[in-house]
Amino acid sequence: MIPMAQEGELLVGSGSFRSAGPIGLTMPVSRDPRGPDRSLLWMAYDSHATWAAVTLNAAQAFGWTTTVTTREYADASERPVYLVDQFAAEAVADGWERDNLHRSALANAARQPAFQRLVKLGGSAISLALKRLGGSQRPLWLLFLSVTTTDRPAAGAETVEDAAEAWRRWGRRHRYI
Amino acid sequence: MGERRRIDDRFPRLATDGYEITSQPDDTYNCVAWVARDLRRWWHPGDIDGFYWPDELGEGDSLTDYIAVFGYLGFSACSDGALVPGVEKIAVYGRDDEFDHVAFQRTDGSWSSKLGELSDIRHPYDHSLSGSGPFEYKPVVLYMQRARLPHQLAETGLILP
Repeated sequence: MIPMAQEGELLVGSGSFRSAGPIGLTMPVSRDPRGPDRSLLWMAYDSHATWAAVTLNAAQAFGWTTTVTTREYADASERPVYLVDQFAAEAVADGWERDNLHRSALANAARQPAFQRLVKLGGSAISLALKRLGGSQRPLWLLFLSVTTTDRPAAGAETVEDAAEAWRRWGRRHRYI
Repeated sequence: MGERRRIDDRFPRLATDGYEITSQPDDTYNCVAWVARDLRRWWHPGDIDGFYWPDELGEGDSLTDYIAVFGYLGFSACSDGALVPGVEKIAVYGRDDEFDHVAFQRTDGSWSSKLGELSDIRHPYDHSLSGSGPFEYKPVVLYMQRARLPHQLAETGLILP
């Protein structure tokens, strides 16, 4: 049984492990490449490009079932690389959005270094793209998904809104989001 | 960050010359759609689901391809952006066969632009959007014109609530 924390209670601190109390931490240590992706939506990051905070209630919301004690998780070998990767992905995605916010012609966006960095993240980037389809720069992420995936769940859609919704349904079906 | 700040940061020359925001930010349509007065779709070439491009045109994304779509909308090349009664002009921005932006001229001689996923704006000069800054558009490389069609959006843009 996972002990519950209060909303917003920090369980993991930036840079070094910090226990919120004498409780175990449930983390997605699955090697299933989709497992880490799912967890990332719930991560908060500080500005130091390390890793920041997870709330227990978020952990339970995701149904994480692998209990890792604080000591185990503090071990460097257990500190998931994807945490750092995801921080980088968020930062790169922010920059990519910022650089193209005023662009109507997006072909160049797929040739920018940020795009290439995101592509290298594989499934993590797809989750991130699907999440950002809920934001205000949907055309950019429609472009990203069209280039990086072979599925075409939005085939025939002529509007950004219809395509974004089709992609998000696809993402839920494939458990990316 | 406010919309004006986001625009000012990207277009310093525009910030100096002055402009008016005429819509909310909107990612459902872009500058090409704005010239077509289609506020429902993002006009963009290429096989990208959710984007619209006329079936009659190719999927290339060069400046030439964009000029073709403006031809499809009834525009033909002209010599300048001077105001002519009864004529609607557009300014096409780009360089080296790469399309960057398009603005249309209002009846008072000022210009209207949809700035990507940002707002529509009214700006007095077409060249205010161009410059050497990292976000500024490339220069106007072509003016095109067609007979001015009467419709409300051409004059007002989308008015803020």
